[in-house]
Formats: sequence, structure tokens, C-alpha cells
Amino acid sequence: MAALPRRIIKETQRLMQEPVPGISAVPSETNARYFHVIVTGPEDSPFEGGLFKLELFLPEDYPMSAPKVRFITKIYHPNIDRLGRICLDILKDKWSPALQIRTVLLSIQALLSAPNPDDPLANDVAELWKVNESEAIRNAKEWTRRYAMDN
Amino acid sequence: MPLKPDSEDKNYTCVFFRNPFVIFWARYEKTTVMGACWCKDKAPDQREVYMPPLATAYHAAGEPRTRVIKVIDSIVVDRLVLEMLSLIASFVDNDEESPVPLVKLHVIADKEEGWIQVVTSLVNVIPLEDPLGPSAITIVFDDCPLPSKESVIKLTQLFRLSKQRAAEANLNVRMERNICVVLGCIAEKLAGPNSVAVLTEDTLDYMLTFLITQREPCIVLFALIALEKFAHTTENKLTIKKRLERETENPLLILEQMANSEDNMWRQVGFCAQWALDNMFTIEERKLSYETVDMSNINVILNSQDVSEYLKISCNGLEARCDSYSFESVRCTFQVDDGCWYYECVIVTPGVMQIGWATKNSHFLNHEGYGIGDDLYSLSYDGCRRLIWYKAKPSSITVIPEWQPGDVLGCLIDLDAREAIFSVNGHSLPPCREIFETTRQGFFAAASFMAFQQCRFNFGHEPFKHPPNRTFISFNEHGYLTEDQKKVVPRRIYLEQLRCSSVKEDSCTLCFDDTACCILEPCSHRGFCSLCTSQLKECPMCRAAILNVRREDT
Repeated sequence: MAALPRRIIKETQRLMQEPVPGISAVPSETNARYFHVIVTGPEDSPFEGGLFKLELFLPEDYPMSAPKVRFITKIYHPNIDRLGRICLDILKDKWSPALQIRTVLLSIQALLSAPNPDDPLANDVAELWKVNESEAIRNAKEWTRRYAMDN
Repeated sequence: MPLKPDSEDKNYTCVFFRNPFVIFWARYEKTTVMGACWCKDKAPDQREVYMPPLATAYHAAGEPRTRVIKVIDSIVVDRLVLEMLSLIASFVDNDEESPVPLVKLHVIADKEEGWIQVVTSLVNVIPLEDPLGPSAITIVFDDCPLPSKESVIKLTQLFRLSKQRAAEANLNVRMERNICVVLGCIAEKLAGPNSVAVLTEDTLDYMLTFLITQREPCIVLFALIALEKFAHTTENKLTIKKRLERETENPLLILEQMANSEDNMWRQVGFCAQWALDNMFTIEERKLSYETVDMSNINVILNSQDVSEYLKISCNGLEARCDSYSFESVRCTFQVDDGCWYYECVIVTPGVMQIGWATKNSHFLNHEGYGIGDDLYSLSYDGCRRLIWYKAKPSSITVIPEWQPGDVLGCLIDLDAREAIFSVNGHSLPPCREIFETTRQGFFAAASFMAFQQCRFNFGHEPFKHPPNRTFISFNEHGYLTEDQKKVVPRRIYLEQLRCSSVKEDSCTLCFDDTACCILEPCSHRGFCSLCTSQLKECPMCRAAILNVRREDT
């Protein structure tokens, strides 16, 4: 880990100056590669009203490899498992160094609006999402209320 | 190439690995956790909880013990915690074991009462003398679900954290030490508004009250580390700073004087106090340590530009410490290519550190849990688990006991004879030769640290304790550093300097470091430097395969 690439400094500055609506990403004071992220649950989704905490880490070979992101707040979602890991193609084989922290966070926000139970990470959640969507959505709302809303 | 978890596997690429043993944990998850066993319908159930045999009862029957509402018999949770602790100590092979106790603890901690119970167990049973005790607490915390701030406040009330508790004359050292470790973990997990909410007046008082030289140093140390972790959230930092300033003399200034103590516990307190004063709780009229330290006869130090991001380095560049979950690594400033070289390392903490040699090809994959000795280009000795590491494979050493604070690790490398020999207090271990089959030069002194570990290096600026009996040279005799290179500038100042640097118009759109000069063919996208382009298989813009790269100036 030599000097911090300018790329990271530049992305950080832009995130601070022009934040993405509904998303806050703040670098740790002691580690410029680690971001504390809060994503607001999108309107008209079962996650509406929730504030979801995530951690984002830029690995040594970023931007050649994707940021590592996980949910810290518990969330009931077919593409996010109990440990907060996210099933999202751009975080894996569809990563491109032209993508950025902000595009990644926007994709995650979009994933909350459009869960995809056909490419599940949390099998039990996906199963219910497919066989009984209304119950799954009820669960998701309940989890949002319980874990993602302060008080 | 360094070993890396199978990054193609979608099941676990996003997990943050933070400990030397996380690799086996990840593999375990892949095979078992992602299967049926985490399903909701198999929720935790007392009958399912595995009860390992309890090897040693760490708390005597008569000792006070904080009670919580029972979900599962507390003895069961205590056993799981101790089982977990012994697992870390004995774990060396990435493939063999499954951390059943950790999985069980995760399941129990999934509910609020369960979480409180797991934390209570950690506080009650993690023994003071186990070198991996505090690390074990961080591992359990890192794995368990994030607590709500209500659970945390409930916990602090349960323990009645307050000034009074911390000022008690006959307190239970083990419990208070463990509570402080737990508070640090909580602060780290809940950075942000929740961290502010849980840092109540009483909890803050509790930690601050410990910052005196009349207390057991192990409590002082972890109270200080917990405060530092709370201070990662700016609002808390200001609150803590204000409180420190309110005292007649800032307690950190008193504790800082312990930085050169011969007592290894107090030495750690001094180190952390000094680091906090330079990095976190700065005082206007106090000069930063690097501005006042005498570096006149020091010609080789730990390289503060060649270190993973959480490692703390002392102002003279010769002592290092890790207080994060990740496996932090560093290389020194001096490279050796031929001849016979020797340096020593004084062990300050008896836990897991991998100290030895690394070339620049060795990567610091601190979050994946890889460090020195975990690839083809580095070699190390871990005297806690008594293992020599090369290519992430350990060879067991039985001829000497585990290292203790104050022990001296000798590291000799003979590039002509192609052997490296570690010694502890002058007692040599068998020579290592395998690494020289692939690497003959470009070695640096290097080390990796697990959470809460510390050691100090002697590259020859003072006499060696156990010089080897073959002819050798010391780094310090041959090294040279400019006045600027001798400055171990606090990280925040270094980052500030970086932020002020500007970006040129024609710089690469991927790294912004070098000039863009390449055109990808056949898609014709441009704006990339040659270093970035050399790492690309397809165009970052359109994903077209790159068949040829043309330089703009040709």
C-alpha cells in the first residue's frame, strides 16, 4: 500500500461536494479507503423510511477491482444475505474500472427498488418472494421498521 | 501472486475478511452457511446448541457475575466463547476446521437478549492472561449482527458503567479490561450518529476515570483504545477532547511519558497515549512527537509510505502497533540484495505477529487476513503460535516456548548462503531455505500484526542483545534517510497534503496519476495511461475486447 491514488482523492472530493441524493458516503478519518455509507430506502419500496448503514472498502488494486461493500443494517432482501453481502453483478464479474463509488451506490439503491428473486443470495427470502410476494414484502417492511428506523 | 480467496465466487466476495483465520471462515461459510442452515425455519433453539466440553472453568464459583435474562443457559454461551478462544489459538490450517462455536454465537446474538448474553459471556469468561483474549472479542464482534443502540445502552446500564464503578478500589481486573475491549468494538461498529448516542455521560466517565497511572495498565490501555475508537466519530472526538482539556493536566500527557517504559504493559499505554495526542486528541501548544524526537543516529525505520492503513508507527519509526481487526503489515525503508544481515525485534505483546522478511512483490492484503509469510515472496515467524510461515503454510516449531513480552526475536538473512534463520533470545530455529528457490534479492525487514499487538525494531542503532555468531552487517550501518524521510508524519497530515495536490488536465481517467496516452483498438476509446491499460483485458467504457493498444503520440 503505497501512496493513495489520486483517483480515490478525486472521487472522495466529488462525493463530498456533490452528494448523491438519498446516499451519504463519508470516508473514515483514519483510512481514506474506508467509507461509512448510509442509503435511504427508496420511495414506494418496502424499505421506504429506513436508513441502511453499509460499509464500503476500496481494495489495494481499486479501481482495477471492485469496491467491497456490505450492508451492516439487517435487511430482508432476496439479493442480500444475513451477513449483509450483496449479489450485484457490477461488484463481481461485471465490474469495470470506469465505474465509481457513486455508480456502485446508485446500483445498490436501485437494487432496493427492484429486488430480483431469480438471482438470489438469501435463498429463504428469495423463495418466499417468489411464492408469496405480499408476505415477503410485509416481512421486508417489518425488518425495515425494526432495524432501519431509529426509534 | 498472493493467495486470494476465490474471488469469482459470488457467495462471499463482499465479505470483509479481517483476521488471519478468516480464510477458513470464508470457506466454511461457502460450503455450509450459504446452504440450508441459515434458513429462518431453523432458528436458534436451545436443543440445537452444541455444548463443547468445558476445559477450564475461568470464573470461580464465588466471583460476582452479571446476570441477564436467560435465553439460553449462560454456561452454554460461556463454553462457546471459551471454545472459540481455544480455536483461534490452535487454528493454523485454512482447510480443516469449521468454527462451529462462532456460528452458534452468531445465531444466539441474532436476538437482542442473545446479543447481550454473548457480550456478557465475553466480559465474564475471557481470561486476562490469554494473549489472544482481546483479539477473540473483536472476532466475535465482527461476526455477530450489529447491535441496535438500545441494546448497547441496555448493556451499559446492566454493567452500571459509571465513574463510581471505575473508581472502585477492589474491582475485577479481568472484567473491567474486557468491558473496555467490548466498548472499543461497539464504538468501531457503530461509527456515526449511533456512536454518539451510546457514548453517554456515564460511559464516558467510566472510560476517562481509568486514565490514571494508579490503575492496572491493562485496563488503562483498553479504556484508552475504546476512547480512540469512539473518537472516530467527529462529534465524540470533540466531546472527549473537551473532557480531557477540563482536567488540570490532560491525562494523556501523563500517560504519554510511559512510551519508553521498561514495563511492557505501561509501554503500550504510553505508545497509545502518544499516538492519540498526535492523531486524535491534539493539543495546540503541544508539538507533534515527530517534530521533537531525536533521529540523529537512526538510518533505517519502518516505512510510513509502505504500510497498510491502520498500523500505528511510533514517532521514531521503530515501534509499531495494530489496534484494528485487520491483519496490518509494514516493510522497513532499507533493502538488502546480497551479504548477511541481521536485525532484532523486541516483543512487547505476546500475541500473533508474523515478523521476518518480504520483498516488494509481497502484498499487504490486510482485510483478507494475509500478511508477511503468506505468499511466495515473504517469510516470517509467529512466536505466539510457534510457526514459521512461508506461502501461507506454517511449519511448527516445538524446540522453544511461546514468546513472552520482552523476548528478543533475531532475524538473520544470509543471501550468499541462501538461508534465513530466526532466533528467540539467542536460541536459533532451523534455517529456512525454500524462499530462495524463487527469490534471491530485494528483501526488507517486514512484519504483520493481529489486533492489539506491538513490537519494536532494532536495525542496529543500539547494540544487539543476541548477535549471531557469523559475520553480518546491520541495516543502520548502511542505511541513509534524508531529514524528510525521517519524519513519521501523522496520517491525517499526510492525507491533507495529498488532498491539496491537484490533477492535471490530460491525466488518466482511471488512476488520475499518470498521463493518458493510450488508445484501445478496435473500439478507439482513449484516456488511459499505459500502466492502467496494461492491466485491462476489455475496454472500461464499452467492454469490447482489447486487441491492440496504440500510443497517442505515434
